[in-house]
Order: sequence, then C-alpha cells, then structure tokens
Amino acid sequence: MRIIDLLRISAANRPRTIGVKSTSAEISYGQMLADVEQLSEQLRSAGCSRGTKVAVVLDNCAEYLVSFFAISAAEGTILPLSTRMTPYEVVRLIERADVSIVITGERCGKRLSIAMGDSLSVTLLNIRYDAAGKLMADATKGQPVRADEHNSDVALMVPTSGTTGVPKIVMLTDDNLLSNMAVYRLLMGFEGRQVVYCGLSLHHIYCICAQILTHISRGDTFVLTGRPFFIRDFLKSVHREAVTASAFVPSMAILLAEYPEPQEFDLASLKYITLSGAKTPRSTYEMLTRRYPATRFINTYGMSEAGSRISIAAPFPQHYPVDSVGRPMPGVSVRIADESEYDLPANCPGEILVNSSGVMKGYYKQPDLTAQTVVDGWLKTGDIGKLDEHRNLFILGRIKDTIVTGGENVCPFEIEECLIEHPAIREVAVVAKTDRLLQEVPCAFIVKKDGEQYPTDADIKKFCKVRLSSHKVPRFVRFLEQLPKLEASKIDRNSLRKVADTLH
Amino acid sequence: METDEAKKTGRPQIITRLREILEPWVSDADLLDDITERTNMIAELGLDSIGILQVVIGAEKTFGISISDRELDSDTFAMMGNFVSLVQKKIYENN
Repeated sequence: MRIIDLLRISAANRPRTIGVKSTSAEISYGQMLADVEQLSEQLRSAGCSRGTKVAVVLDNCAEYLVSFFAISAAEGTILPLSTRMTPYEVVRLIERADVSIVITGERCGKRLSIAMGDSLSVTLLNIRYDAAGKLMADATKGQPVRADEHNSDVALMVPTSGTTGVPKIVMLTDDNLLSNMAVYRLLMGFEGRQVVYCGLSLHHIYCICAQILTHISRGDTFVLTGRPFFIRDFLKSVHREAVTASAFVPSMAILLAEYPEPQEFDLASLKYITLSGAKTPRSTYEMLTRRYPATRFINTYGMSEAGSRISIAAPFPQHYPVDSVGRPMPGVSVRIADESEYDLPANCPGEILVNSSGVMKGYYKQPDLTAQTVVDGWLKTGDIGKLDEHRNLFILGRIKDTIVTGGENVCPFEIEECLIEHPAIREVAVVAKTDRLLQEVPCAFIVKKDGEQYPTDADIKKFCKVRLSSHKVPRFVRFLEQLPKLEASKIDRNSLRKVADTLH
Repeated sequence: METDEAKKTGRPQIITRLREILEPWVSDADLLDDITERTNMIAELGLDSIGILQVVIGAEKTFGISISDRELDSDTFAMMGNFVSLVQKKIYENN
C-alpha cells in the first residue's frame, strides 16, 4: 500500500465530501482525486518515475495537498519544502537531494528561477486553481529527469537540522509512514467527521502524519489559509467553519491560552488539539484545560527519523501526567539508555532510543551518519528523557546543540556558517536564548575582525535574512572581544547560553 | 483632542519608522522602496509569522504602545494602512 491509496479509498467512499477549503479552491474528495491523477500524468510526462525526487514549495493550500498525493501516484519521492525558506536554502536542498522536478506557485517559482540561474536546471511546474476551480499546471522543462531505483521505496524525504551545517535529509518509506499513522489514528479515536485547521506549515513531519495522512485516510475536511498563523484567524475559523481539530506547537498554545476574550467566538466544535514540537509549559497546559474545558489537549512527541510519532497522551480518558508526552505508542519500543547504551531503570534520565516500523530507512547519501544514528535497529534520538514506572515518557532536554524555536529545529552551526561569511566578522558562536513565546531564539555572539567597523544589529539581521529563513535569523546580537573557550579551543556554549538569557 | 506628540506621529512618519523595523524581516529589502498604504505586508513583502512578531514587537517598542492579540489577524497585515491605523489609534489612546 502507498500513501496515494489513502486518498483513493476516501475518494471512493466519500466522493462528494469537501476535502479542502482553501483561499484558492474548495474541492471534494472526488475532484481532489481527479486533479491528483491529472497532475500525476503531467509528472509522468515530465519524466517522473520510481524514486524521482519532486520538491513541493507551496503554502498551505489545495494545490499543496494535490501535489503531495500526485507525486505518490506518479511513484516519485516527495520533498516538501517551506515557502519560508530563502531561495538560497531551497536551491541548496534541491542540489543535495538530487531533485529533478519542483512544484511551486507563481511567486515562489519566479524567485527560484532567479536564484537557480543557469547553474541548476530542474523542471519547474507552476500550479494553481483558476477562478473556475480548474487545476492549471505549466511546466518549464529542465534537464532530463532522474529515476532512483536504489531508493524507489522512499515515499517522503524530510530535511532536518543537522549537528553540523550540512542539511540531513530523512528518507521515509510508505511502510514507515502508514504504520505510524495507523496507530496514531487509532489512539486518537476521533469521533465523527473532522474539520481540520492547519495552522502550521504542512511541510512539517508532525503535520504530515497527524494531519495530512490521518485525516485524508478518514475522509475529513481540511481548512487551509496559506497565511502566517494568527490566533484570532484560528478562532474565527473555528467559529465559522466549525473546526474540530488542529495541531499546535507551544507558541500557538501560549497564544490560545492567553487570548483575552475567547468567548466572543463559538468554540463548541473544537474537540482535539495536539501539542508537539517542544514541551508546552505546564502553566500553559493548565490554563488551556481550564479555559477551554470542551477541548482535549493532547501532548505528543515525535521526530522525522522515527516516521513521526513516538508517544502520545492517548487513548482517553486515561490519566497522563501534565509534564509527560504520554506513553510510547503500541508498536513503538522506547528505551532510556546511558552513554554506553545500557538500559536505565524507571525515572532515571538518559538518551531516548526508539525502535519501530516507523524508523527511517536512513539519511539520504549519508550512510555513516545513518549507521551512527540507527544502531541495531534502535534510533538514537539525541533527546534526554525518562520513563516513569507507568511508562509515561518525559522529555528533559537534548544532547545536541539544536535550537528549538516555535516548533522548528535549528542547527546553530548553520547560522554560524552564514555569519562567518560577513566581511567584518572574525569569529561567531550562536546559542539558544530562552524565549517566553517561542521557547528559544537564536542569539549570536560575534568577534569582529581587527580594523573593521562594528556592523549594526540591523546589518547582521539583514545579512542573515537574505540567506536564512526568518526563524534562523539571530534575534539578539552581541559583540565580544573574544569568545569564551574551554580546553582544545572549544567554545564554551554553556556560559554563552547563560549570558544570552540575561539579554533584553 | 490630538496632543502635540500624537500630531508629530502622523501616518507618513509611522510608515517611515515601520520601514526601518521591517527591513531585516522582508524577503527583499528593495521592496520597501515602493511601499504604500495599500501594500500587502504578507503577500507582497513576504512577512511570515516570525517577521510579523518582530514588526509588532518593534512597533510596540518604537511607539511606546501595547498591541493585544485581539487586535491582530491577517486583515491587519493585508494592507500596510490597516497596521498604520492600528498603531496610530494606540498612540492616540496613550496620549
């Protein structure tokens, strides 16, 4: 079974049910499947076959979902990329993933064409729904499209932050994704038809599992805006569209918990909000359950390498500690291990190791890194956690230097590699600074080159914004005479983190 | 009644200050040369969630105002003029 089959089954069972309501189109499951088949034919005409990598660079819209399933129907591999990425970041990933075809919209397509120039030639497919609701797709042909027999079983490739600046690309098969989604869906136990609001970008693996695959398989309705997330827009949508379910990260949960007067909206339909991406503060969780008693707020934990979901605070109405991320899902084995990979007893913190049918095939073109990350079938998550005597899982921190900001993982070295290209910068270290809303934000400590003028804070941000997505742009910039060092000239990131937390 | 401070912060002055705040967060700084009250801050300037957050924080600091989440939605940023009106209203309320 492949992921396209989820749509085929739902379209057969509910052809007239509205599948997507978006700003560009409102389409039924029957039409969605017809449009998917049309686009998959165009992909095949463009040369797409087993294992051909096809990137999707679109906002949350009907065209995104159609593209997602059309690539699966054409036996290609989906590489979803955020429209928040700069053209520089997109081109880097296209090269790294050996992408042959890019599906995008008009505005992004133009920016990409300029960024790619003559150096990289992929087939660009601009798609949009016209005013009459007809799917339009125009192809600009590039170099011959490549198949990849070796990775023909890979359904989805997901870029993830690395421990170095080099992007890692997780390869997930249909089996990885479908087995994980099936258990997740079972545990959630959705009752009746759902109306799903997608406030996060659908390129996230969290959304791909917990929203796209889960709700397409149920024949539910998606509400897509394609706009940045505003809590007031969300509440208006719940009121107007009778939204029943959504997937949040902690920053969205904080906005909802603290919204001044939610009673101006009818929120009776809202039954399920999953919380993932980072730990939701206890005070926020308690405020949510107090202020929105009709809604279930469900903590869940996952990562791309695990085929998404690892644990969840479901089924209901069992009790889960507020600070936990629920229990490991059935079929997902979780161990807590010490540095020598020996199992630790209950309540002892150690690295979280995961074994399940959802664990990735590997990192694309990085066999050594794959071997270091998946050892004897056990995925080393790099997260520190503990299991209590009831097997509730608690996330306590992480081994890696990753910055988690607004639910996005960011590698500080990627930001450092960007900043070191600045003509006035000699040395730089980027660390996480605690942030009330986004949990963490990047903070850059910079040593300037002798004889150079100090760049301004705005100069540094502008320099980064051209090359990096907004969430990677340092929110705080401080200049130092020298960076604090440990032995072997290693930067003392712990002391910089402490300094960062004192900055305002 | 308008105070002297409020009069000094007319719409053109607010746009000038907002242009400075926006600069690090737009996809292409050249776009700011042509902004008007009708510019769509999301579709045309490419502001994302982080960019919007920074613009709101920047406006709060620059103009000494406080903006509630109740006053912000996608319509606020659909036209530059809408956000300018919000900032102007807040400055007047403060005075």
